[in-house]
Amino acid sequence: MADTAMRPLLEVRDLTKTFVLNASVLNTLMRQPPVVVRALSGVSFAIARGETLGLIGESGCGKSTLGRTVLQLHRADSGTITYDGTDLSALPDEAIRPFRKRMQIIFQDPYASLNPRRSVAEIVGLPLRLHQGLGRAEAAERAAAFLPRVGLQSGHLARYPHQFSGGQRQRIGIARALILHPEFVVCDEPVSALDVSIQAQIIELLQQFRAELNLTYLFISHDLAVVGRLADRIAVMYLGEIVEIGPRNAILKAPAHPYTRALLSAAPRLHRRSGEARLRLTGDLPSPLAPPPGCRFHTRCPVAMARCRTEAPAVTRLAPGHDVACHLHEGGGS
Amino acid sequence: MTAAAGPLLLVEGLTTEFATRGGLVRAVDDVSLRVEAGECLGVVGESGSGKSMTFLSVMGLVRPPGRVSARRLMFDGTDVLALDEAGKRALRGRDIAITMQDALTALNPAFTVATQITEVLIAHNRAASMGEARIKAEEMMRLVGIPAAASRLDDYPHQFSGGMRQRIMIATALACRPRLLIADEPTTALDVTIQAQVLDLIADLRRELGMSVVLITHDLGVVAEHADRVMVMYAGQVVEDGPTATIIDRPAHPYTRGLIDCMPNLETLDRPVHPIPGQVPSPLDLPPHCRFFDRCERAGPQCRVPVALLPLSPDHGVRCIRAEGAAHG
Repeated sequence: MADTAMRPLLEVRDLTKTFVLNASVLNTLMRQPPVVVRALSGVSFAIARGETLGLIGESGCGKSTLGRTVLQLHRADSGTITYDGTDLSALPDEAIRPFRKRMQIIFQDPYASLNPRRSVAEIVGLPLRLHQGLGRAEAAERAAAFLPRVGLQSGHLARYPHQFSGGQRQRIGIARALILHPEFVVCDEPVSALDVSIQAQIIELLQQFRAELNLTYLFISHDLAVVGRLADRIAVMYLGEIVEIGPRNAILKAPAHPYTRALLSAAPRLHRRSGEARLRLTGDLPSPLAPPPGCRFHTRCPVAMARCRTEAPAVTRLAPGHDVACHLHEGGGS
Repeated sequence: MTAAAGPLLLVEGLTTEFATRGGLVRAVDDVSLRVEAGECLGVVGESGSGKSMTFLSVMGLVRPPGRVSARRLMFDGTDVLALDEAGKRALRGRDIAITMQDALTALNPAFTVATQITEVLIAHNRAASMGEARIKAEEMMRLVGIPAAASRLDDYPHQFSGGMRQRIMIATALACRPRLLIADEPTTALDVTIQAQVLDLIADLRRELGMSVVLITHDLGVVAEHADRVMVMYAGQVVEDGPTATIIDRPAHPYTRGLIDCMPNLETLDRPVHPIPGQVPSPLDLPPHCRFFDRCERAGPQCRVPVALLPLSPDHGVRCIRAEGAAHG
């Protein structure tokens, strides 16, 4: 799905990841087949250097798994993850290490992602000690110099995570991720645990760093308005598959997939144009343990047709860089 | 059922305090509000603003060392302050019901959903027998849109998805057909498409049952779509209240303005983000003057005084001395 003439910084092809759920001894003894969740099935996309790809979807759709698999925090079952020309999925763990300082992650929960027993100096300094072999004192010094860039003070160095508010903790998490000056950062719901006024502060900080360090982001969120703020392109995921991907304005102004349309329609607005009916979805997200046959969205789709129940839609190109997987758009649709 | 004129819920001068090791914390500071019959009041504010605590206090659910006091607390003409514990208990659950933000912790994992819904009905004498209560419970589950309700009565909370659990909590709250539903962040834990379903459900039920709703949320978009009136809280105080359209289109308090401007908005994606600087003051160290002073762009030396909530117009109040038209001295 890459259109850039230049080689993309990251290219993911046919990525599949499953998790085995109940591999207990009892199950093995009883010779029961293990229950397998397919978190990602055949995901492909590319991100150019300096670009931000927004990744949107509801809980359980596999968006966090995708972010972590790209960083090799999970190993993929199949498919390739080509980072700056190297296929990471084929490398042994030791060979991936040099890439780790170039790829970082900012987590969702600023309460759970910081070790409560480590001071800010240790948390922010650790990447320097691991990847640049700095000593404790030197790492702390560099951390102190970096803190003002995320809106904290060097005087905060000796404090512990519990002494900070949620927004300040997220700033610590950002400092930890960016102190090595990485090229590529996965932002996994970095603002969803924060109050609105603080969300805006963090979004602004991420925008600022993107410009200063020429960062490439994979920005994961369930909030379309937040993704729309930062992303150049947006990918929409549903039950482990990308159902639509395209330039931000195409996705937000002219969404093609019924699921993308439903997501946009469901987002609460300050000003809803009068007469604009809300597209109501019915039903819950199906269990990823037993995804529906055919198109996975057909159980909730307001415009599902007979073939959607049996036949999975192929990816159709609507415009350069705008792809959708939906029978409505295949060869003009029916 | 006295009723007639007057609001369904009337609160005047509600204050809730906690004695902590660090000193006295006033979580709710002199809050007054009213909810008319059939109306939806949106309550907006960030974490720690006192929005949930206000309504836990109204419900009489604040335990010692928390201390609640109020000048007046009237529900449908009844003076709640004069009621004994049994009288308050009769009101809670039957006439006023509350749904909590996190359905997984609010529902008891050890009992089936049938047990939890029928318990309310039996406790408030709304069902003569267990058999009748089960029939009513099934009816409520169908009303909130749970598929195959009859076969799911004897399931446990963990067997339902997040959206379904939220519906079960709403079903439990609505079992006695309350006249006031307090919905505390009913959709925060839910995905957007499910959030829209739950909010539409509350709106439908409000119309069908003629119920009043207090919708506590941090999301101004949710309020814009569902509330008739809005009350904005900051650091324990009401800073602005008025009709929803007025608050959204012509906010008078700089904090309300700031909340609207910093909200990610699909209509204005390329406008620069405009965050409110700084953070909410610690409840242990509140300034004696305007509580928004440190974060306010319009603050001046004249703001270094305690500020009262004063009317801009008969139905629009604001706690800011610089708001134009406010009768501040």
